[in-house]
Amino acid sequence: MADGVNRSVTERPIVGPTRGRSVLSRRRFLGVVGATAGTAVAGVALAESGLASAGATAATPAAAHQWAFMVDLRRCDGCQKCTQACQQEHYLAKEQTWIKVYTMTNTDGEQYFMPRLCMHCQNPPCLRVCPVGATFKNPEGVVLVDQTKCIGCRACMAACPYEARYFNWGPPPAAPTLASQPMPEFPVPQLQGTVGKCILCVHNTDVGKLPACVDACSMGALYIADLDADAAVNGLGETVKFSEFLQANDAIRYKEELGTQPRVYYILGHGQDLSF
Amino acid sequence: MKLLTKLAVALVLVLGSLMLLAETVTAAPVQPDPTGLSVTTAPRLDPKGHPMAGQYLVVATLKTADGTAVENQPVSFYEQVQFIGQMRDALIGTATTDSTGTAVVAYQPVQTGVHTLVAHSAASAQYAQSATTSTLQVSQVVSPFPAVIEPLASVRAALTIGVALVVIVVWAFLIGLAVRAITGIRAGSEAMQPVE
Amino acid sequence: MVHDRTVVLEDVREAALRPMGRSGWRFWALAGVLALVVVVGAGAYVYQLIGGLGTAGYYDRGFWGIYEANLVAFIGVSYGGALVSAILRLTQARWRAPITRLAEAMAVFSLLVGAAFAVIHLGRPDRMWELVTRPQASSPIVWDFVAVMTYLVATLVFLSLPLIPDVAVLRDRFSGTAGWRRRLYGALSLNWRGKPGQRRLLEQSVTAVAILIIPIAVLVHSVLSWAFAVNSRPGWDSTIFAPYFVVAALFSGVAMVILVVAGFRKAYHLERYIEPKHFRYLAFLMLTLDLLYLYFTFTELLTEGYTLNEQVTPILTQLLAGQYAPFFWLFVVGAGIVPLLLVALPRTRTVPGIVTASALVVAGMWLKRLLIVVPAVAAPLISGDWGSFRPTWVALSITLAGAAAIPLLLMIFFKFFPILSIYEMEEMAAEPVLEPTMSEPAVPELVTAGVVERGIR
Repeated sequence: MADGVNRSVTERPIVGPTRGRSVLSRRRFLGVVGATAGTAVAGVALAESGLASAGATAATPAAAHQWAFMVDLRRCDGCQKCTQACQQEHYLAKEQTWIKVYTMTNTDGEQYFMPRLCMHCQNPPCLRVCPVGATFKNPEGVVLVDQTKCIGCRACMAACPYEARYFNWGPPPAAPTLASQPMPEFPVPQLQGTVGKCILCVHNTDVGKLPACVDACSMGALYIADLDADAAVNGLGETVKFSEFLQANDAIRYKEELGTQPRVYYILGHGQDLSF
Repeated sequence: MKLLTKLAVALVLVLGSLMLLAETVTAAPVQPDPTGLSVTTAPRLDPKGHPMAGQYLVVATLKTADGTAVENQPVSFYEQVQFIGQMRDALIGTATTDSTGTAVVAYQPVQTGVHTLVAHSAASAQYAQSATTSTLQVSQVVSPFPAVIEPLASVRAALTIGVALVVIVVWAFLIGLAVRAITGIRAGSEAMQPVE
Repeated sequence: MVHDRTVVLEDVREAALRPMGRSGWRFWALAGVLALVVVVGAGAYVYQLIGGLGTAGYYDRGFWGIYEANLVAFIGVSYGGALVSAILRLTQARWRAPITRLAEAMAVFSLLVGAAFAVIHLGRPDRMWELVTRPQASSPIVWDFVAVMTYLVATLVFLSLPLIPDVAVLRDRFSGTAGWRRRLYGALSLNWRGKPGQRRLLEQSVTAVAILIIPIAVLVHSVLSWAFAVNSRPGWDSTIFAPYFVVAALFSGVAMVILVVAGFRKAYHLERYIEPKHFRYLAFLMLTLDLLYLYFTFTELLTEGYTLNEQVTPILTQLLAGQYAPFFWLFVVGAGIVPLLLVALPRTRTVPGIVTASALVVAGMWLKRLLIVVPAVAAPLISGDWGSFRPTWVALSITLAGAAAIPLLLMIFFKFFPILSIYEMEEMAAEPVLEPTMSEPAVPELVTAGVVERGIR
């Protein structure tokens, strides 16, 4: 990606001012009021300014989240810590692998690992087939299940092309007494006879914590992302501008051809160079 | 005997590394040249030279104190975002400075408002690290994410209404039929002579 | 072949009401065994309710299985019963008279059993009411619910309307007695006096329901297929599924009608009214549907197997040459080819031969439904091993209970209502055959009796 941009730079002049001020720390802001270099052609107000201080950051739009997820397959070593952390977090039975690490074989016959969680499709087949609306998409784009409404018909399991849904075929494991009634945002304890799935740990992200699987991934392969902030962060604290990272690394959405419009992105290529 | 040799080797190694360590700590390091990094933004142009809506270039220029352009230095660009509980520097991309000391990445903000951009040049053997920020007022954005589409939404709505109507008609017909038959037969139906 | 008119009429009535008389030990023994099977199934269901659906053999890689196959199979045979009766009524087939009642009753009870499996398959049957209080129009499960309910009402009307004159016969028979029967039949007969207006209204209504029930039945089974076909799952996502299911239902339904008719004919000695010819006609219908079903199966497999895309290939491989192949070929031979031969060859086109063929078809079509449900669920969508569905004793007990419930319910029903449609039998007897084009005139004894008057007061 950097290559492409550099090429474009050498090929044509850069429009706009290149005046700036050096600082010692990138975290330190200097109050420099820059001249507004209007680019009237584009109709885009372009301000080059060091309108420093906390005021500038406070102006960062604080909109509702649009949660998304990214799996960097180049980094996954198949340790399944994500699966374990998820099961601990939600008090799940061993069979309920809301995030499951599949062992895949590529065209060269090499094995690689693919963590699969709920794709939080924006056109979710599971949601459409639910007869009672127990499955729904919350305003932040996360597909959730209200286990107090689910009638247990499993039409959603039939509809999901990602095997991402699990059923409580028997009594679920015991959970702390604090959680007595499962909520869509924190389905603990699970209810027998209802369906459960990855909730993208909305109970964590909404209070500024990472999802359990992201936090547990010591390889930094799993990223929680927000389309509104356009940022993604992994368990190592590495933060990237989401859209740029997706574009630069040719991200794909799994089985996108089914029209599901997933919110989970995959970076392909196990063992590739990690630099970007 | 063997053990002694090993011990001796170990001792030499430890001493040697200590000396090395002492040297690095005490000896005055070779001062890398201080650098000055400036960052700015510019609209991105399409091949015809027209600015692309919502697309920008983030341009950093790396120079030494005396104003000499620094070539071949990687510069990382970040955007400051409030995300998952804290302010984070989200990596936009990395570019290497060219002969004019300029490194450029493309930048496509997803939200209007003021964005704080950071350029950072890591320390190397020759140059000290440096960083700078810049803000960008954005009034128009083009989302890089695929829009959520609802294909055939109107058709689906019409279909639902249509099917519901058919179901209602069928039920009305069935129940009406049964009621008509029951009441008619019970009434004796002398009134309902064949209408040939 | 000369019969006294009154003798014929009394014979029909005697035969139709024969099950209502005192039952022999065989009836009670059979009813007892069937009831026991149903009770065991009910117990197993309670066990399943407490322990969860896992006790039936379900798990995440086998989330649908035997109950879903039962649901489709039982609603399917119901469909056959209703359609046989409706089509024969609409085409004015005179030979239909002795079998419509059995077919219509079978349609209702197997539908009830099929609908019961829709409840049994739920993880939370206690929340079923949500289908009414918060239905989602986009869900095929809701479509199923609406369709099955509509069809249930239609089959009930279809069974009840032609019953009215027969109930009137019972009313008159029990008019002298002072018991619940007199009150029951008195209420249900709706003041039927056989007046021309009443007859006309009845026939109009029955014809209207017969017309309506055909599209309803087609839709019910199409909707049932869509619960599978609208999913992107390979093996289900097929445009042919709706008509394929409809033909499957008809095919198994006609076979089930033959079995039910044969069973009650033998048990209540109705040979005089239900003749070998009835079996032959039904068997020809079954033969046509057999060919049609084999054709549909071939079409589906050919279009999927020709492209051999990577989605469908694993399923086809398993079905035709893998772990499901023995079952698939057992179905093709056992429920497709053997019944075909049994009916096609004059040597075996006897009542026992036809009944054997029908039994094979009913069993084989149930197996086919399992083969539709299970492989598509068991196939891995991402990677890894195939799942499987291994029904436990719970699932098998409940399934057997469902199968036993149909004859049991029919036996109970015919303890209270005529097993033959007296009204239609007498109607047929009253109408002279205008065009004796067929080699065998329909209902010969009754026709030759030359009855002109209406048989019912």
